[in-house]
Amino acid sequence: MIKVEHLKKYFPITKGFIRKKTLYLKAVDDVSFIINDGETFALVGESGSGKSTTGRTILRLYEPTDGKVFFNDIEITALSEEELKKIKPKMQMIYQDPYSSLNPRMTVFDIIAEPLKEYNYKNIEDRVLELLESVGLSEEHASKYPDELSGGQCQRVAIARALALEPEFLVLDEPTSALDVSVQAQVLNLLEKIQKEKKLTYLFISHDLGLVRYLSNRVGVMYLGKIVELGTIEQVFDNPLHPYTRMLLQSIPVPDPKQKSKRRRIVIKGEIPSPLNPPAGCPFHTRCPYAQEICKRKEPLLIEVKEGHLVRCHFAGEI
Amino acid sequence: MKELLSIENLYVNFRTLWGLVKVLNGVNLKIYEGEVFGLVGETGCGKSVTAMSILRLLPSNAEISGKIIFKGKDLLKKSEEEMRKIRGKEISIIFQDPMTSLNPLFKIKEQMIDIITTHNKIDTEEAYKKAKELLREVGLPDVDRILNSYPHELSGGMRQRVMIAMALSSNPSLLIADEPTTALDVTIQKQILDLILNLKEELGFSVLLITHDLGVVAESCDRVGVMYAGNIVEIADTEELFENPLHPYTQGLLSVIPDPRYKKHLKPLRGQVPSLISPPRGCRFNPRCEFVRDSCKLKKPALVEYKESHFVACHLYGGNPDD
Repeated sequence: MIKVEHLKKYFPITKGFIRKKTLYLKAVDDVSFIINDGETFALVGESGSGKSTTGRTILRLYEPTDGKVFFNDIEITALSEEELKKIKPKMQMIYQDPYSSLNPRMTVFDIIAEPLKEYNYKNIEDRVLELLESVGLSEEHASKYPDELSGGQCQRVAIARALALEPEFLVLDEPTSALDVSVQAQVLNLLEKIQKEKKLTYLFISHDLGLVRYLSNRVGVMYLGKIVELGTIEQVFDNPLHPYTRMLLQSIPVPDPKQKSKRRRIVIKGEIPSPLNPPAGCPFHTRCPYAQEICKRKEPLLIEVKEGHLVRCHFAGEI
Repeated sequence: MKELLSIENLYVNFRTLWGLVKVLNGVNLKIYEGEVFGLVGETGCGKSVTAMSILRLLPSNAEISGKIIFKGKDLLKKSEEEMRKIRGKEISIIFQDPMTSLNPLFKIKEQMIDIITTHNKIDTEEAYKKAKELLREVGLPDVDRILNSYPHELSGGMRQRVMIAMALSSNPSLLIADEPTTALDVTIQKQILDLILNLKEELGFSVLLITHDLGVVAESCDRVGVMYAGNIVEIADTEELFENPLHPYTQGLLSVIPDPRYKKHLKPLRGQVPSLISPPRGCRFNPRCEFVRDSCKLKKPALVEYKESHFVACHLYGGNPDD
């Protein structure tokens, strides 16, 4: 359904006053993947890895610097503004913070009705109520303002709004990271339910590997704007080949106190380098326990190690 | 094990325009010497208010009652002058966001020297040496450069290390860590947690670790208290709590955390956290509880020792109905 080819997004940063110098922050640097019909593809990584920028560039909320994005064989990156408007109802986005993505001066009804009006829908009232019901809210919520609702309810409203124009593809950008765990599970189950009912395709962006494992079929691990490993959930989580994926998996706290002493022995090295000045060669070599001379000089390519399992490492499969 | 801190029947209310917010509803807990005690719960359950009560740093609209016994003395009876000698010296605190707890206008060295000379009778030069030593101890490289940096020039993980160094500069007996890794990435989170645990083993202080993340609890705490809407609902050794959770809320919390090791079915708790202006009568968890009975709506269950060193506040386990 979605095909991303060599997508790049560079943000120019101007430094200096007299001798102006423009640096480029390579937020997304040559990212390629496909998302199959009806599946959930996850992008996971630490802050600054470029996962959100990738999501936004796919929807053309940012103009890509280079590369192509296809949606059902239509090249989105080549569309004019007008053509893009026609296709936008099919692709929607849900953001992290429901309070700042909903207009505080509009009632829940108006928030959900707005896209329907924009695209000249009829029977708006019935449609809004139907949408509210599908996300587990009721008629009584329609007249409320966002500040009268809890975080979980606001996120349900945001989901109802995103569903209003019957999309086929949703970008979920950390949809539950502002919510408490007990509410998070409610929203996750809702997202799973509507995916089944409406046969939706998801791009799920998250830093939480537990959530990724729960919700996704395939996953891409990002580091400094690049995908370093990509595969099915089982391939990446049960048999991680890139040292960074392993480091991530070793870092997440496991909700099992019996593992405590074993996990204390694992040592995690270094911090993410500045994306303005990424290391030469393999971007991960500064933190990699296996780094060799070649890693400092030559950047590895993303190669397919097993069917559908791609890794960007000189020593993939050897370490 | 020797008792370091004991909180007894702590009630805190905030007077607000909308009414009295009953934030803490009789909190009881003990922290022993050299242990890591985790306080876990969702937003608004009162974890941070408990921490701020210990340091007596609540805003002026707070009404506080109960006892907070630290090394045998009740902190709530101390004068402001006496408290100032305890804060940062005997009890230190580190917060979630190290950017907002460091002053952005001063270099790290100025802030560290300030703290060190406040609590120790030494001159600036010696304090600078001590600052260097402390920064090395928390695993920072290139300490001279860091001392001459402003907070914004450091990464989040480095800032939290500086905060830890400052908190430990006067050898406190209790370190309160209020969501110390929530603003950090997972790889840095592990580094910071490991650092706190290693320093604790080396220096022997106790830690009150406040977190919403049960993974962090499993990873670092000896004992845990679970809070819900201003009450401690369960206290047990970490392993015991994860293996035999007694309170329906604890059971609920454990069934909603995803596990990175396998896909597990999440069974969400129904409803949401109640308003603390008009909290439910009786047990504050009763509207969300699947085992709710009539008595739950009338009487608040007391925290009782159901099994050896496993405490629970729930009518299902007795809960001392006459208390």
